[in-house]
Amino acid sequence: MTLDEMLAKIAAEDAQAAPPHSIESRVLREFDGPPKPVRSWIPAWTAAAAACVAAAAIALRQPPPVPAAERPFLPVPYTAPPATYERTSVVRMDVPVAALVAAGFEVHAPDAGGEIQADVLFGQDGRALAVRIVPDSERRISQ
Amino acid sequence: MNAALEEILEVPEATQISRFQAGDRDAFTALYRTHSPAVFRFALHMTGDRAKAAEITQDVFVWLIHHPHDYDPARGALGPFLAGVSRQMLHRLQRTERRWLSFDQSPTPLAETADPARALDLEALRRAIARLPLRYREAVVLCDLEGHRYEEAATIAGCAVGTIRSRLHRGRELLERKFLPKEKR
Repeated sequence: MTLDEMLAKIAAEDAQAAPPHSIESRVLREFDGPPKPVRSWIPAWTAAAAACVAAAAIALRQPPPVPAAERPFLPVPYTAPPATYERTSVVRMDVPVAALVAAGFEVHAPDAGGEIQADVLFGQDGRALAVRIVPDSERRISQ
Repeated sequence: MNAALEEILEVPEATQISRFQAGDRDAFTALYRTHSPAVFRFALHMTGDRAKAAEITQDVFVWLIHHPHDYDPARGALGPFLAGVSRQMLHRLQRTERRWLSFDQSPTPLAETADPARALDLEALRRAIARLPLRYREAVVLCDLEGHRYEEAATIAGCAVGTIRSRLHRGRELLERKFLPKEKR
């Protein structure tokens, strides 16, 4: 039997494979969410007042917010966002326009063979998760 | 099966997705029933282990429950999107396992276990696929076992079409070297 035939046989054997039924019920339990919390004995207004005091204290102690970046990061299509515990890093680099197109972005650049400067967000496994084009770079390309 | 679920199983997937994103449980159930076999099969072929495949299937759909709006229908079909999420879950599982493997359990590189005289049984081939280096395994599973076109496989694996083709070629070469006697190649 050739490798092609063996692979085709495995594919045919597994065509009807499906997860156990218990997985569906577990997943649906997750969909239903945790049980509603029991009403606390603390009156609602007390909790609200405490929250306001805490928020005011935090606001007074925090430095003024740093202005956000001009443009948001665009997630690379078909990549799952990083988990909350995952370490990420941002690298500014020259990215080939063709690579952006291959990754699924719609790029309007006069030179598809050129490069564009971008901030690339990398996940812990070294995969690119999101891209933010540097505005100056776009001007450079349009020239 | 309740009447609402029966009804939503009949509507187009785009409607099921928008209803799921609005919090409809039956719509989610319909999507789960449509897509969970493909997610499970992909994980099964990648790991060669039914228990792990079930665990990954569960993780993928739990992730979807908590990130309903991360899927944008304008960017492509839900199936390849879920395959991409499965892939991320597999990578995470592999990183975790690698962290905790003892020397005795650590996978042996394919070349060191190659035994040309070994019987050509499918179970051995399954195990060999599960032991291929990840990049080659993905290509073999997506193209040869899941029947994806090169373009779809490249989108799921996040690489160029040419890269998928060369990884597939290399993966098959490794499997042939392990399984087929020289005269049959």
